[in-house]
Amino acid sequence: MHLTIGPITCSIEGLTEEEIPLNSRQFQTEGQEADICYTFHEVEELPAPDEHWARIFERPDIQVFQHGALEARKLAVGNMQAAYALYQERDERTIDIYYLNTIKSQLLIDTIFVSCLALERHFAKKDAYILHCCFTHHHGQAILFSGPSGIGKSTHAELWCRHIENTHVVNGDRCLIYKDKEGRYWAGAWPVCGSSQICLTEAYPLKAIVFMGQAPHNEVVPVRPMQLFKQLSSQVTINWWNKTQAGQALDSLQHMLGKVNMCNYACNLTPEAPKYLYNYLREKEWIS
Amino acid sequence: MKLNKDLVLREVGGEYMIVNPFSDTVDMTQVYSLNETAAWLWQQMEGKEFTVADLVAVLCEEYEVDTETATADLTELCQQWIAAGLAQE
Repeated sequence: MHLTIGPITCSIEGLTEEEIPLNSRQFQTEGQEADICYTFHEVEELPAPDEHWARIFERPDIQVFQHGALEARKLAVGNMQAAYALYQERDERTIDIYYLNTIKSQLLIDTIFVSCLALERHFAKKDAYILHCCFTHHHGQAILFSGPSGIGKSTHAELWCRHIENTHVVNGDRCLIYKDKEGRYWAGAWPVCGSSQICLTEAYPLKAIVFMGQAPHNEVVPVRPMQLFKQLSSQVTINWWNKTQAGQALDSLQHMLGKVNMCNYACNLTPEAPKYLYNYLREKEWIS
Repeated sequence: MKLNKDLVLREVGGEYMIVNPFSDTVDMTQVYSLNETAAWLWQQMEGKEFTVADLVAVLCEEYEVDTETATADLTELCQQWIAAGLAQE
């Protein structure tokens, strides 16, 4: 079985189509050559990475090991006592995933399944990044509402859908940003969508990233590039334990800052909020 | 003293920031910002052992500033860098 997500096609062995989550299943393709080959192994006990692997990073939900340029990860829910899978690279494009037989049914949860693939590591090599945002389509164009959880991204996107015609949400929580061969930025589908339950497999040219804030009056707040850069990089998934990749990611995001229109929008929850921003984006000719 | 070798100086739109990629909880909205002079001093001292007097010497050579003012300012700057974990004594 092959899954194509943005610029990467991966083959999945060891699981049947019915054993992968519904959203991820939407990305199934045929006939494309795989960039990465994953083999899932059901085990009673997780193997430990051997002595060649050095542990370089630890958090309650992940342990990262390094062996030359290769990486292994032990994944857990909450703490390492509850580790459920081991991701281990055989080479750059061949990966084994060992998972506990007791969690097999949970592999049907997109977040669990996608975490096993460590995709952000492979996307980074293709200059593609996952942004925490509400990915909204308007008239063949992508507008991304980004910002910390609870700031009102989805609520604002809902207001757009209600008050601005030809608008719908593509993914309520995440978006894959990548470049085409001509260097143009695209917003693409991602199989994890948080609590939004909206996860469409659509991709559109990226026209604007809007960092959301709350305020009694609607206003596009002028900010310096550094502020936008901090906001952008704090909402992108970056493997900070890999210093080279983290540096490359920040370089890429800095490049994106120069090419993609971004702004800060502080707003309320009235029908005027989407209209104000819509007019601003049109006046600036960021969207058509 | 010595700068923390894991840190990376980055310039965005004429402003400077210090990022620690090895921090367990990288919060990009809370990263340390430097003004242009502090960033220039940072670049001069990367990978070297240095004292406040070394900073004063390079600063006074590059900028028109008297030694007394430079010493006071750079003593404070070094204290800030140490307190923020950017440098070690």
